[in-house]
Amino acid sequence: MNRNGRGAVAILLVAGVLQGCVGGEDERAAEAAALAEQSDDLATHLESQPKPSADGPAVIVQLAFGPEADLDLYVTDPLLETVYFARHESRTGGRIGADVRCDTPGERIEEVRFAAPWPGRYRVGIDHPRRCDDEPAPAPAAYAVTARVDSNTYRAQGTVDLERFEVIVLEFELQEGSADEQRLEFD
Amino acid sequence: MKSSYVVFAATLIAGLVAASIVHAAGFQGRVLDEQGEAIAGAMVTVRFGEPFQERTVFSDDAGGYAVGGLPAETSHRIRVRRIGWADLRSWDHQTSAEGMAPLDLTMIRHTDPAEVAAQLPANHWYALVLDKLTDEHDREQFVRQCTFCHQQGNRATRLVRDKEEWDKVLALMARMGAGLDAELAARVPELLNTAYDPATAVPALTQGWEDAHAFAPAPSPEVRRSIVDEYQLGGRSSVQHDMIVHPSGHIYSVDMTTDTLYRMDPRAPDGAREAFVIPTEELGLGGVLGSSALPSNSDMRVGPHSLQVDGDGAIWITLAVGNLLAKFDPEDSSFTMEPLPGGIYPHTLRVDDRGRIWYTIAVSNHVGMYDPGTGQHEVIRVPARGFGEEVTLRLIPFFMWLSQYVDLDVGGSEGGGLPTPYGIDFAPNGDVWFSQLNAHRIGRIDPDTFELTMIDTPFSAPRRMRFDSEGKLWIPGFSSNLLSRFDPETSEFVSYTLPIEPLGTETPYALNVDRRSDTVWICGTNSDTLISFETSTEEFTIYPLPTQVTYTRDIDFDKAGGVWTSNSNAPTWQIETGVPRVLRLIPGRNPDVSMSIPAGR
Repeated sequence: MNRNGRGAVAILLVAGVLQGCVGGEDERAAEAAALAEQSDDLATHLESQPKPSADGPAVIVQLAFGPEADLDLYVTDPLLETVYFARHESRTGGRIGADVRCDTPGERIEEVRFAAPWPGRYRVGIDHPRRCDDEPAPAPAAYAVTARVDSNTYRAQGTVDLERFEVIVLEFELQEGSADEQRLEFD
Repeated sequence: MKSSYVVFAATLIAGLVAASIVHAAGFQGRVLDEQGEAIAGAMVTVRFGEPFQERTVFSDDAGGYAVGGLPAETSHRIRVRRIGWADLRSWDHQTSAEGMAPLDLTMIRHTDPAEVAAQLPANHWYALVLDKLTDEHDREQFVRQCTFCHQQGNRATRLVRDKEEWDKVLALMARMGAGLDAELAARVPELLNTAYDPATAVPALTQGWEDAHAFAPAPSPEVRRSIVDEYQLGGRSSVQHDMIVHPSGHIYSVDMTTDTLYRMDPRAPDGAREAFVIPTEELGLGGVLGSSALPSNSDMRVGPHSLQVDGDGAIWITLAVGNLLAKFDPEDSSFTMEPLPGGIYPHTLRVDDRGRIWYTIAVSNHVGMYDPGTGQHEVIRVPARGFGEEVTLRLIPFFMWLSQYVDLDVGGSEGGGLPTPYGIDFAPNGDVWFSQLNAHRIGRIDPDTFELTMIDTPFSAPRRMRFDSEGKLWIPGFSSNLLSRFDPETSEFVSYTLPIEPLGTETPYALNVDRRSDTVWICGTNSDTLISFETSTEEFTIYPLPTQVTYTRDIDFDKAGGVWTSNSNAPTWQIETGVPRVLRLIPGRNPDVSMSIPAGR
């Protein structure tokens, strides 16, 4: 291909992409409103989940999302280690339940529990690795998160684009807990 | 400037003498089995301090060990490790101000072969995967991509997972820059699960384990006279990507995921660690690349990656995701930022004799040059492998601009399958040489005209390379398990297979040449080792390192012959103990070993 030919290809490519950027303001506003409504619904759904009993796990983080996407919950503990779909348990005892994927039946809620949580800062992140309806990027998906920490509940909700990792959607501090450092020695 | 280095050297020697006086305490004794027989080649690791420091020595043929240079009147934890025996862990051992404290250590044989298999370095498990990859293209691709940032075959990677979970892991890795061809990616889950299935893996890995001394022979007496010092540096979200030895004797290390420059002083009893937070220029998480697939515990906004000292003692740093160079002044602890005029992802840098900063630019396929004296910048485009690749590379900046408005993935932090300029060094005549990792090429740049020449390597994945004093270029073949010597005068390569067992399982990420002896030191990145190669005799020596999952990326030397590197496996939690370390190997120099056991014992 000569220089002119390459230039034409580049111009067409740019024009094609930009065409996707302009116009459709109303459509995008409607989509954003629908997503906001969906994340409200997801947050309401999470609120309706059974509360942990007083002698139960002291930290439970839940992520709710819809059938259109596979979202993944990441919870980083005070040791700065993360529990997520590929690391099922952290050294502080955090455990993830089932990885909810596109073909997972039933509730679309992922959960990480710390049965004997360490004191310190917790960080919650959300990844959007895959669409279930094959919508092309950015394909934002709605989510809602709650973190039940003793008697407190922390909340976050919003959207995350396809193949984006929202590293921090929520952070919270646990003032008291059990830090079993002995188990970390020479581990 | 030279006179100041003389002062530094004198200070260093004085410091070492002072340190040895302060640290006169230690432990000595024998490592024995339950029958009272000597265990040779056991690694005796003593930990003290907070953040911790560990010193490891090896037992000799009589089981004798001596670990000196420890702080007196201090509580220590001791671990003894030898493949075939259970790790011995013991707490609260007090050193004495009176000298070496006697301490015999008894190890118990493993009775479960699964426990023995778990002790083997990652490369042994990895061999089980490679055995199943009969196609050379697939094998090379798997090696290069699936050990890009971490060992393959460590505890975390050899979990048996369902296919869907593996698919998600592989997709995540691809977003981080280590993608596989779709056909290979589809086969990898079953490949890994069958290779790592304990039912077949353990018997395959432990044939002959009943005779522990023959199954895992002790290192040579020369190796067993070595000392390994490890310094915890940073926390569990840290990645100590590269480190250097400063002429002052300090060690500097860049923590890529927390945007921190660390300094420590190995002469100080406590290591005298200091942390300098690098200005992040108000960038968001992920810097100019955004947060497509950051580590979940990361606070990376500029991503310090590589560092070098200039002739004035200042430290230059590539800030990979900030797309910046930084200069750190050790005198006043200040940083000065220098934006790149072009290119994406400044990677590895070196400083030439004229004080110019040369650096590879990994994602956009450039080599950069910055002259702090004149302010001159050059960004040299490196050839792609074809028209399509060239178009892709040239469109990356456009896509990055466009990503402000439309969500796009520009290809991951290390360039994925793109050519990826990587290691860089100077020939004695001043020529600039660099590698192009994924394109399997090296290149030469004329330092005055910036004219560029590319050369195909007869092996895959040349990574971080260095010149010796004679002008020969030494190159590690990351996915080809070899060390290669290239002669720029004749353009001839001579390659040496790395002797790590099982053969073919090493992934040498980097090497450095100690130009005082022209000894080449190579990262045993997949086998928890450092490997030396004597260029005069063409002999390899393998030095085992005590921490499981020691993934190393660069090497430097101190004036006393210590070989320094950092353990930068990413993610960090896969490292035994879950924290990164900077470490020093003092080869063949433990004067206490063989003198430690009184006659007649």
